[in-house]
Parts: sequence; structure tokens; C-alpha cells
Amino acid sequence: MMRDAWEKLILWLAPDHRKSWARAMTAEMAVIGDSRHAMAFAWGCLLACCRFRLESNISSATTGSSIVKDRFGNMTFVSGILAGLTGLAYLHISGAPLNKVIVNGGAIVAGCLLALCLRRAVRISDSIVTIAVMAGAFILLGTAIFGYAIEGARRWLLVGPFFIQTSLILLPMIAIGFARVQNFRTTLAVLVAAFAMAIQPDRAMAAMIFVAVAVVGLMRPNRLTASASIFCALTFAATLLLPDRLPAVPFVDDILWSAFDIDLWVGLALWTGCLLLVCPIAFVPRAERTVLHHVFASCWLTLIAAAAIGAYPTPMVGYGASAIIGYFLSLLFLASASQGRTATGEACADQPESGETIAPLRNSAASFAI
Amino acid sequence: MRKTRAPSKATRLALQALLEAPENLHGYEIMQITGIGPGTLYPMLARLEDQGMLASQWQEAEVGGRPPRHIYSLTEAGRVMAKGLLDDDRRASPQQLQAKPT
Repeated sequence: MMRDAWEKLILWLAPDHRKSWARAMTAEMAVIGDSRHAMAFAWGCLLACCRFRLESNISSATTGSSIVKDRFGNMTFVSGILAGLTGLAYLHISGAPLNKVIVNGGAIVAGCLLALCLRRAVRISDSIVTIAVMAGAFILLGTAIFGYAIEGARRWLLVGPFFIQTSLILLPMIAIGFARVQNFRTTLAVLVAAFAMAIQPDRAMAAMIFVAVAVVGLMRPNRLTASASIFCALTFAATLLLPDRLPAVPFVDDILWSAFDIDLWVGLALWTGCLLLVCPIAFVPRAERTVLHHVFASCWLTLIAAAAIGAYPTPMVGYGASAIIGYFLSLLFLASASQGRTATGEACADQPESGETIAPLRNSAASFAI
Repeated sequence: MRKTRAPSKATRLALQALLEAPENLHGYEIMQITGIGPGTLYPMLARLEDQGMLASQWQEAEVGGRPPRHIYSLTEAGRVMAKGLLDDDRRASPQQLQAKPT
């Protein structure tokens, strides 16, 4: 039963031109009697298929710009995994309960798989972005009204045993979605999301959406982005005025400084892990950086700053590890940005209001799928 | 111009195993002989096949109900390359390829 699942996963992951190799691997698995050896072999085969997939993606990149884009997409994906693993190492070293380690580890796997599956399953056009951004905003509003509250902060949905902080999952996606498509509906969604952050209240996330929208406003000045920026500034100011009494949660909040109490190297590793989430933009030449790159970096930089200043979780370790999933989901919109605006211009015609030219990034296919 | 890299130690071990094997080998057998994990072995074998150094074919399973398995052998070009590499290695360090990882 378990072997069947592994075989299916291996066959699914292998690119088309390597399917016969995947079948060869699964045939070898069938002759290994010892289940431990078979399991170790299966993990190795999975790794082999990941390498096949990566090689396939890299070899399909033919132009300089697409190589740059692939580098950015792959870097963000790998950075997310490395940052998540750093977070896991921190939890282990700091003596966090096993369930926290498991939840955060599971979130890395879930985030990767979710992003990869959605990337394969859905061709994200600008209209899909608009719908997703609107749906996300109303989920945030629903959380702010009906969600689970602790000390007056209503930020969570209780899904089974997990506390899901919906804003950490959805807000980066909304910010990047807005950076990609500015129309009346996405602007409305941003206003709803910012309002939800104000009434939850959540200073860190309100700051994040404000900074992201302000970046969009600066790089694509128009009536919609200006009004969204002003509204987000007001909602952020409101969160500063509203009381935030949430105490710091052990192993999650305030860890960027308390990690140094464990060891200098632990603290440095944690900071490095956080900055890994931001650094992929450094691999994009200045001339090819778009508003999406800037918004992506500023989103995570704001969250890191918030975690350094106040009792907020870092993006790589969380109560329910929502930020890790949010990070990988945000890559989905980022990766699909150039795909959505193909050289045929269909998406551009669909969404003329998203004015930025990203010609250097237009013609290539998948970016972060490994 | 595309640069060609010297084959890795894992590639040399796999080539040695295939060269010295009395008959064609399965992937799992190459793994056991060389100690190379499947995550490295299969991409390497695929690359060798792409380069025309390796031939693979399906072999019906001896036990009923099991799927056919891939068996691998060196092509003539692969044998020449493998012999050349092994000769170089033996000249450079006689014991380098004797110690196989366990």
C-alpha cells in the first residue's frame, strides 16, 4: 500500500522524458525485500526525480532573462526550504515540544507540495489572481469577525488541532497579487484585508500590507494604488493605537534576540535563515527587477522587522507554521507573473490596468517548480 | 562553448562496476557494489545514457508478478572511456578506486 503511494509519487514527479527511468526505479523498489531498505531507496528515488525535474526546468530555459527568472524562482523556493529547516533546527536546539517541530516540519512539506501541485494544476491568469485576492481578503475579514480570539486579538481559525493564522497565509499572496494586478476588485480586496488587520488587530501584518501597497504605489502611481496606500497607512496607524496585549509565545515570538541566549551561532543562524527569505532579489539584475520582486522582498522584510521589534512570529517558525505555507503560496503568484503575460499578449489584453512592462520575463515557462 | 567536466568519483565508481561486472547490472546491484545512493545514481546513469556511454534495456522479471527491470551495460564508447579513466586513476593513485564505500 505504502509502496504503491511511493511509486505513484515517483512516477508523477519525473518529467515526461524521464518516465522510463522512474519506472526503472519503481521496478527496483519491488525487488527490495527489507522494508527499511526499500524506504531509504524510495527516498533516494524521489531525490533523483527532483533532480530530473530541476534539470528539465533549467534546460528549458534558453534566453538570458529566463535563466535569470529561473534563478530567482528557484532561489526563492530553495530559500524557503532552507529557512524552514533553520527554523526546525532552532526549535530542536531550543528544546521546543516535539509537536511544534512536527507542525513546522509538516508545514514545510505541505507548503512545498501545495505550491508545486497548484503550479502544475492551475494556469494562473490575472483573472484568477483577482479572484484569489478577493477570496483571501474576505477570508481575512471572516477571521477578524468570527475567528478564534486570544487576549482580544482575533487572528486565528481553529482547524482541527491547528491554530491557523490566516493573515500569514493569505496576506503575502494578496500583496503580491495586488502588485501584479491593480484593478477595482483587487484594490477593494486590499482595502478589506487592511481593514481586517486593523480590527483583528495585528500590527505586524498591517505594517506588511501597508509597506507592500506603498511599494506598489511608488512604482505604479495611479488613483487606485494611491487610495489603497492611504487607506493601508490609516489602518496601520489604527493598529498602533489599539492595544496589543498578546504575550510572547515561547519558541515562536521574540526569538530573534532570545536565540542569542542559547548560543551566538544559534542567533546568527536564525537571522541568516530569516534573511534567506529576502535575499533572492539580490540575484535579479537591477534592470530586471519588477514591482513583484520589490513587493515580495518588502513583505518578508517587514515581517522580519516586526519579529525583531515586537512579540510577533518570524516567518520561519510559527504557532501553526502558517507563515511557511504563506511563503510558498506567495511564490505561486510570483512565479506565474511572467507566465500570465505571455508574448501573445492575451493576459495583457485581459488586464490592461496592470501597466508595468515586464518584457524581459515574458517568454519563459515554469520558474520555481523543482 | 560548452565546458566538459571531469567525471565525478561516483561516476568513476559506477563505470568501474559496469566495466568489471561479468554481466549486465541492475540499478540496485550497482548501488550495492558502489555504495552510491539512488538519488545520485539514476541521474548519473541517465546522463551517461544521454551521452551514449551506457545502454539500458528492459529485462523480464524472474519472479512472476513483478515488473520488468532495467539492466545496464557500457556501450563501446563507454568501455573506452571507462578504461581510460580507470587507467588514469590507477596511474595517479593506485589505491584510489580500490576502497569502495560501504
